[in-house]
Amino acid sequence: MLNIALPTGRMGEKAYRCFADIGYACPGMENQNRKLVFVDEKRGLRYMLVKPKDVAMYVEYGAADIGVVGRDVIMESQPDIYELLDLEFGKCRFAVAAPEGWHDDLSRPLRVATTYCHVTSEYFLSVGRQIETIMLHGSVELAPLIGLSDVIVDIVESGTTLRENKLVVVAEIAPSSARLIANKSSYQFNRELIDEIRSKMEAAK
Amino acid sequence: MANPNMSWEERLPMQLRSLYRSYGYQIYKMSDFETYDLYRENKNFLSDNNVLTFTDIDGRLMALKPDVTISIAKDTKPEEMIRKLFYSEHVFRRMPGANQFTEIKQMGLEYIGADTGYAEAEVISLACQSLAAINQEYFLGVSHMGYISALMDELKIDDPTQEILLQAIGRKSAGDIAIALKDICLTKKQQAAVFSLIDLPASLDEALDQLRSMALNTDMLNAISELEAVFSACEVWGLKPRLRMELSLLNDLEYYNGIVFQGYIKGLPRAILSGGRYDKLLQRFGKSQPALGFAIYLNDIWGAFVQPRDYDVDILLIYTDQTPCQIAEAVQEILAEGKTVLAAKDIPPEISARQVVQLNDILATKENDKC
Repeated sequence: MLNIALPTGRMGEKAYRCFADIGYACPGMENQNRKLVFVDEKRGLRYMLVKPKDVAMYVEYGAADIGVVGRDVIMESQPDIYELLDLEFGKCRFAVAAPEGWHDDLSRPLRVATTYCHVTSEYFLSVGRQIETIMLHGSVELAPLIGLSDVIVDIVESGTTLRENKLVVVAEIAPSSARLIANKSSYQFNRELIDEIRSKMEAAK
Repeated sequence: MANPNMSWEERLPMQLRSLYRSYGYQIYKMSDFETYDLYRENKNFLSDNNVLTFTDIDGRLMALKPDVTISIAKDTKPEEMIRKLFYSEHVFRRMPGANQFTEIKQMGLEYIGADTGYAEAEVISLACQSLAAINQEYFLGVSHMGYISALMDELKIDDPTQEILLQAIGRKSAGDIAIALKDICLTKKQQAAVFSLIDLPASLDEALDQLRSMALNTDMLNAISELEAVFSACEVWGLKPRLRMELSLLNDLEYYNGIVFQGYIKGLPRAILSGGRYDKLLQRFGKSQPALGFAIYLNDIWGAFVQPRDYDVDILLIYTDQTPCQIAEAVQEILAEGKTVLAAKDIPPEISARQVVQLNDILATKENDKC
């Protein structure tokens, strides 16, 4: 049985299409319902739908053999996994955003609101700027508007959310897209199948 | 030696000890503490920088050992040319993702003075036999830090870029390798050599051929010849099908300079065995001997392979006012049948027994038999 962890939401739908397109469709997956596990006994496949940020955890701990996850999640949680293929969808980028016309006051630590603490501290360490991280769980765009922080670090797709909140990108950190990942041990024991999935997906890109 | 009443987790360490002894390795015992400085100076040798420290009576900062190999390297005398050791110790580490220290049962083996060739094959074979003792379905991934470092020298990149590149190789991430190398001018051959590290054929011979065809200098070729010699000896032991070339497997270049390997067992998400050639660790202690070894993390195994027992004990023997002598005789008889026994006056609430026996009944039956 090959266990596949996919993120809920848009990226998960696209990821499932990738699997379906190369012949790994699973009955029931396309129905809109609240089921989280889908099993195809005949082909030995089990799909699980989990929170995007948990996909890497499921794979690292072996609950899933392979999975699809954004590079942003990998950069933040640094899981010990193999990253086998860039699926080239779900493209976005990590960026620092600030209110229009913002000027960095270097005389004091920069207050940064984010849901990505690790990426934030690594980035500001690399540019040598002292910061105070404000860890939030969502709607980070609000933080600079009400004075909770000076800037935010977040993933930016089209930039619409930023524009609507009168924020602009002041620095790019790193690009991200969906990746096919595998557990390091499972990969050794299911290598033929996992390699086949990877090469078919690469050909179908 | 092996008592049938022993649990698998008690038997396995004995089995491994006897395996290591049979190849001439002697047991190494160490104290639970070393000075903190020892670990601070060699922090990159440890997989995690967190060390559990305390202040000794004389004010020195001490540490509960997170590792055994560093102590063996430190304690090896310059004139001890050959030292074959194994150990079974508890180390104190922070587990990945956990915010607390854990006591980890570690067994390991170190071969000080190990030359290339046979010594490497012997250690690889012992690693394989150790894994097989846990589960027959295993793989040993093998890499060579000499090959990697000779390739890195060829690229002429700065240390931070090399760090990022090595991390990307460790994750087999072609995308991140491309990002790490994007501002660096490399020849086609150099690029191909880097990308081939993460995409080797499953077959050992094909993987070696690919690595040889990608070699850019004699150091890289020498590493391949060394691996070839080791694998041919492993073939004698029938271990070749269990070995995989896995050049994404990287240990710290500051300490490891030759063959390195990691053991995976079916059903366990992480490598449970890890080792390699660490001549450079001994050099840091001013010693010239080469050295090779591995460690097995036993904690990870128990949960996955030890079946929960249905009963704590075979027979729960309940006695009342019998003499100690009568009770002892009854216990002795049950043990002689090869069963486990717990003798108590009352039924202990949290013990589950296969069978509860009243000593009174046993004595009554015996009385009847006599008549």
